[in-house]
Amino acid sequence: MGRCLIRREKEVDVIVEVDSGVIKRVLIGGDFFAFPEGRIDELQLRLIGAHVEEVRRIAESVLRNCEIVGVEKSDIIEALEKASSDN
Amino acid sequence: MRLLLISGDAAFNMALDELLLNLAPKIGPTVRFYKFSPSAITIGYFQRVSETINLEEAGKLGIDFVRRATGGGAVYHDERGELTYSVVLPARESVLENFKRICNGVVLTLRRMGIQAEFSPINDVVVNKKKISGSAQTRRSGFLLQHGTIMYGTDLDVMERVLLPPKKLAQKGLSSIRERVTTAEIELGRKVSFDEVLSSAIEGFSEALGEKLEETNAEEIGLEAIREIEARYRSREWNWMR
Repeated sequence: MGRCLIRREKEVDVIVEVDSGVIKRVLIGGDFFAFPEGRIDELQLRLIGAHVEEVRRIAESVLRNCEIVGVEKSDIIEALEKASSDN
Repeated sequence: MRLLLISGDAAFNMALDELLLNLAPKIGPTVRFYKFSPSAITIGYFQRVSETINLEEAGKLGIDFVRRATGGGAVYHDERGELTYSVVLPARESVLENFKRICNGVVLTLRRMGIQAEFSPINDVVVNKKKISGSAQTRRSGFLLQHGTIMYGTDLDVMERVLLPPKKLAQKGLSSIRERVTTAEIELGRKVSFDEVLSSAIEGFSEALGEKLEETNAEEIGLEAIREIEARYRSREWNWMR
């Protein structure tokens, strides 16, 4: 299991479980704001079963029309990549 | 602008805020003031229960929690020490502009009470750098819901027992929640009542939003749909999703 926490004005805290390069579980947590919030849930779902090398592409695609406040979109993507590679 | 003064427990309160947002395209803007009866904790939509709430202490004190539909951090809502507000408006400005505009209602409420409060971006109101109010926002169908606290007599000992300190506090050189929060009673050095805060809030929010607030009762809106939303806020699936 890998974990990555990034703090800005708010924080994003990501936990990722990887098995043989494939994502088994993802939790994107924190006290940031996302509009709409459901896009973060969708991102979690879309990442399950994906290869770790696909994390950035999937995250950029799902978050394209999502406004994030308190952290940057790039922070979420970076946290996902770091937590994935930490396994 | 419609003013609603209806309080309940945590699940009811969150459900009513969400319903007012859902109904907004049909019924328009609403300002609501309420309290949490009984006292409860709400956590932000993305927060993990086990890392934000001291479940053992909350259990001992019989304090339940509900996950909000809005992001942001965990809040202890003291039945005898907090006025909570919610505002539903057309989402015409940016998230940050709306936080500033609506939090100005909190600032003006507190200034009417003799407290020199100021907005602290992103979503706080502070007095001498100590937080006295926090807010959170969500958007749907062209409308926004912003809800938040005004702490007038919150029991900070209980707050410190039931909430786990955010990791970012340590980064700011503050070791506890208590070091960074205050209440109207602490600032004024006297007892403050819910009704005193409420009458200031009606004036303060009216001034901030530039509209007179006129009280409406629930029957005029039609709150039949609340039960389904309320059931979600009471469900384990929702509250323990993270």
